[in-house]
Amino acid sequence: MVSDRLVALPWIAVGAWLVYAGRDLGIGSARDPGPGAFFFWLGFVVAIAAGWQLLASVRASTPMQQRIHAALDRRAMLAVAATAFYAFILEPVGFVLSTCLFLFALTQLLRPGRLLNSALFAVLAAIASYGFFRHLLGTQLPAGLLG
Amino acid sequence: MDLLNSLQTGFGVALQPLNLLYCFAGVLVGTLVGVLPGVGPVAGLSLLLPLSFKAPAEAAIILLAGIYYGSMYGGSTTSILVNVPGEAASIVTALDGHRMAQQGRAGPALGMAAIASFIAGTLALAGLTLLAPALARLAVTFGPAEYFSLMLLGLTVLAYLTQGPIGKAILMAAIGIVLGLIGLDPVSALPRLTFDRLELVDGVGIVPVVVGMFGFAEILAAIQQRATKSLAAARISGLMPTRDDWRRSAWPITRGSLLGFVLGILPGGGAVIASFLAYGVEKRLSKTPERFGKGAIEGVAAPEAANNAAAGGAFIPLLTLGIPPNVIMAILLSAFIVQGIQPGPLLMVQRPDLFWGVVCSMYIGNVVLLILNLPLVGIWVKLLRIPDVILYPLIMLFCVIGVYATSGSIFDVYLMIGFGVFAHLLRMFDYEPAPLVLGYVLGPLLEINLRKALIIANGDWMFFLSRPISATILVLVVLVLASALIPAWNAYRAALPAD
Repeated sequence: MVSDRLVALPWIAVGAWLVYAGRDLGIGSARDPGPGAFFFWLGFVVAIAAGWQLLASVRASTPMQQRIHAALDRRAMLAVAATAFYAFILEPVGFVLSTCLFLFALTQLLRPGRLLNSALFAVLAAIASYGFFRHLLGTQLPAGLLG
Repeated sequence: MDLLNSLQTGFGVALQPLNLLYCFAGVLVGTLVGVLPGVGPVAGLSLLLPLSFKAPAEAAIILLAGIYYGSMYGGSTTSILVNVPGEAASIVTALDGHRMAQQGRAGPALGMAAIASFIAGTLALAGLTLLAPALARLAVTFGPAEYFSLMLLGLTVLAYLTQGPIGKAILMAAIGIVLGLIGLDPVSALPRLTFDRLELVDGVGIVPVVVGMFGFAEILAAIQQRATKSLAAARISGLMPTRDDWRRSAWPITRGSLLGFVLGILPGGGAVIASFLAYGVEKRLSKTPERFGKGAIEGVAAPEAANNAAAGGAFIPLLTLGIPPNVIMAILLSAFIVQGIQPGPLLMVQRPDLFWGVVCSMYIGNVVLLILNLPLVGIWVKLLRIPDVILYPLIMLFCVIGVYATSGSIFDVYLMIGFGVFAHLLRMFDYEPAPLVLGYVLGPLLEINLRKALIIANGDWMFFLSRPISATILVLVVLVLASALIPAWNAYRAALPAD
């Protein structure tokens, strides 16, 4: 498959890099394997397995675009971005406020509209989860701006 | 007599109020995990793993074990009532279970699923109780060569049984081993692949890996698929199977239990394969195979017995050898390690309270599940109606907080997100994450045992073949890899569901 071919090539590169990194760390000898020995041999395993995929994919062909399109689904990628932003602001802004924003953004992403319902859910869920994690489980959560 | 004393110790631990509470919570959450489509036992255990760290060791393992075998019970409920398998091991149950429900026999189907699960779960525990001490005694004689070979077999069989080409699964396992080895070298203390990041000196944590690859990635897939649930639950009346149902199901339950138990013990085996095989065996043995798929109660009893027996059997290699036979047990192994306990042949000697406490809690958990499941069927079905717009954000929040609560490090949250996206992309290209996670958990053990064996053997690779057990296991590894070239087996592997 075309997609397999495209994915196999970076894996071969990863395998080659592992071989290099293993050598760099020190392979040692059979009597006393060094810290890089396992990486060195695993690099070969990765490269050979990827090469196998490359060979197997040569004959077949399926549209690559479809898979790339599926992998980069807009809503899924926006959810990833929202989570990364949440992680970024969690400590400086604090748990409750950042969680409100995060949950509001996700609910709007999944079902746009009904702003009041989303906001109400976000606030209630943020406060309930704070109570659950902080007071019931004793988890340390950042207070941030409210601290 | 020893066994009776051990069981007495175990029930003494399991019946302590705190452990009873954790057992109850575990099976309840497990049933919920089994009921909710998209949140299988792997994702459920990954998400709840961080919560278990604050509990005492016995309670933590009892909780996580409860989630696992509880999910096997829960999965059948939605398979039968709404034709939505909550987890992969219940896919086969839907074939006949849902047809029974459409024919107005939802009650007996649910009843038989719960009773078959209970019988098989209890039989598997009896097997675990009887076999574990003997296997632990044998395992004491194992050296690094045997351990290395066994772990290699586990990884190979899992790669072999994973959906998709075996080359991709081997690649994933190798990448998992590499991830597991990041951090300080156990012999020379040299930092390896840490990229000068202090956060990586102790290695990549298990929680960001499993939560990212199984929790976060599952939700990304669900968001992408935009699956809408169309639920029309069947009416339930009378849960007890008829005399004829019992007559038809007695042998399928017995065979399913045995098959599931054996497959559960074997490396790479598990509840999913057990349920599919048990269904296939019953259909082949039946005098009326045409009834299968049209509401045959044997088609419910056999796979439900098999997946529950497999769940029990899988604890044997973990508790006695310290080797997880599948990904779920790999997550449990990480829970043991976080608690400062190394499962293996000495666990029974050094921590009999923990070993037998966990085993006995499973007897109690099975009874609790039987009592809980049938009366609460209506509630489980209602839970399916929680809208995705509420469920998915809450699970994503749980992923972030679970990881943050474990280490207090935002770096780990970024790692979790990265692993989630990585697993999401991998799945798009038919790479399954299960071998990666098993490789990650087994990687450090594989490396240290290989290095020890080579040092003992003075660098002679033939050492692995000169020891009978190790040589036999390595021959099996070669046979498994060679059989991947047989087209019929490849067709069977292709038919297996993911997870």
